[in-house]
Amino acid sequence: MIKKLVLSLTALWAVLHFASLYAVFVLAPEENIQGIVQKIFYYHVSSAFSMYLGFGVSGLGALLYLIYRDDFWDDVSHAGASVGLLFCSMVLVSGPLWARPIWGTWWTWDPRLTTTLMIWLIFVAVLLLRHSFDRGPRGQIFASVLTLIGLIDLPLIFFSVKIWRGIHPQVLGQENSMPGEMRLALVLSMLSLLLLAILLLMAKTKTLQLQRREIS
Amino acid sequence: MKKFFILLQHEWRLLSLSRIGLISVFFFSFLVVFLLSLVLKKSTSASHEVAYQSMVISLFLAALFRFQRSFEEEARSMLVASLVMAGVSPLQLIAAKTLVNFFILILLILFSFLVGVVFFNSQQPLALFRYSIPVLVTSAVGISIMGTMMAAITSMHDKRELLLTLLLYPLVMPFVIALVNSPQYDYTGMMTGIEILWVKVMIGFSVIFLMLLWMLVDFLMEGMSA
Repeated sequence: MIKKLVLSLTALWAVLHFASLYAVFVLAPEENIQGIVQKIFYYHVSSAFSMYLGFGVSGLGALLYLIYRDDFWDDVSHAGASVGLLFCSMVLVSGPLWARPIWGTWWTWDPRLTTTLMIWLIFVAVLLLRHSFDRGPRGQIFASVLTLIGLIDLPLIFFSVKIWRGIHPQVLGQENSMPGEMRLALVLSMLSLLLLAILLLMAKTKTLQLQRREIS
Repeated sequence: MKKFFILLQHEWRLLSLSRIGLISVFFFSFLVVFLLSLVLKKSTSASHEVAYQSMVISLFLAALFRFQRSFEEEARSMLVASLVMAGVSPLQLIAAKTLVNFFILILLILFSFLVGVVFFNSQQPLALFRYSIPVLVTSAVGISIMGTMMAAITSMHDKRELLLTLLLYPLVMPFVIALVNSPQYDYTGMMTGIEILWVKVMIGFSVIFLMLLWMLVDFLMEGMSA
């Protein structure tokens, strides 16, 4: 049954992916001022939401592992950290690619950029910790503790633009900020990347479970 | 409470036994400030600004050496498991170590301040003292909490020196950012004040780290005794 679910989700992702490609590059118009560079926005924002999903799942897995001591939750936490880190890397790469032509600089110590880089560093440390210890209870406990500590940065990223002044654009939540075609492109690319994140989470968790079985 | 003071006494005794280790931490702090003054002497004439920045860097680097020694005794023996079996509260144990680390950090701040004033030829050391020391002390609270927690995690690992650095530095980034952004300077480079917002950020993070310590300390001890 799980196999059928995965196949269905993969098929759905393929449809969404190609639909988002069409919406982004054909349907959505070029922005007046930014030109074609603006289209990075669709993948940058979508990657950010997938990052939140990955790290959120990692935190939830860590908490449930500490409560129930089930290896499954540790594998979920590990998978979440890996997937979250992947999408965080995409955010940190796509952002400067957009920023260079628009702001004239690859990087600035804007609050949102800084907090996103911080969480990237923290979860690199989490994965390093996991790889440094064997897969015994000590490494699992420490990794879960570090994940929960690192998660304090996640709400900071989201609220940083509200708490501190910065130059990072705030497009979502602004009324009448985008024409309908752009909204459609954004929604499709967000759904596509979120579904990809879910599929990667499932695949990584399964891989870790199989590795654990092999070791034991 | 009585057990906490006994633990605190035990930590002071361990500190006095490891005098060479303690001296080496201060010597390292001296070397960092000296190296920075050597490297930066031609790059800027704003001595207050650079003196303060060198204190920040020296604090972070030297603090790492101190944190690495926090659980030296426990790593050598099965002391943690014995203490837990004897009914010692994990929170009291970590709190005692955190307090000692905080005290060492305060001494490091004052020491690097003196060295910085000399090497950077600060003309108005009192102005530098008045603004930089309170800010550094505020940050030392959160840094010592997180440093002790990360030292607990890495104490049993054979690559603890590297692992502690990699785990700790991302987590104390908010303090680095707040410390760098908080001073206000005039056009001559003289420190004229501190932006209170950043001090609030440091206090906020210290409170958050304290809450995390309280919530997660039992799991830390369990991991150490596993």
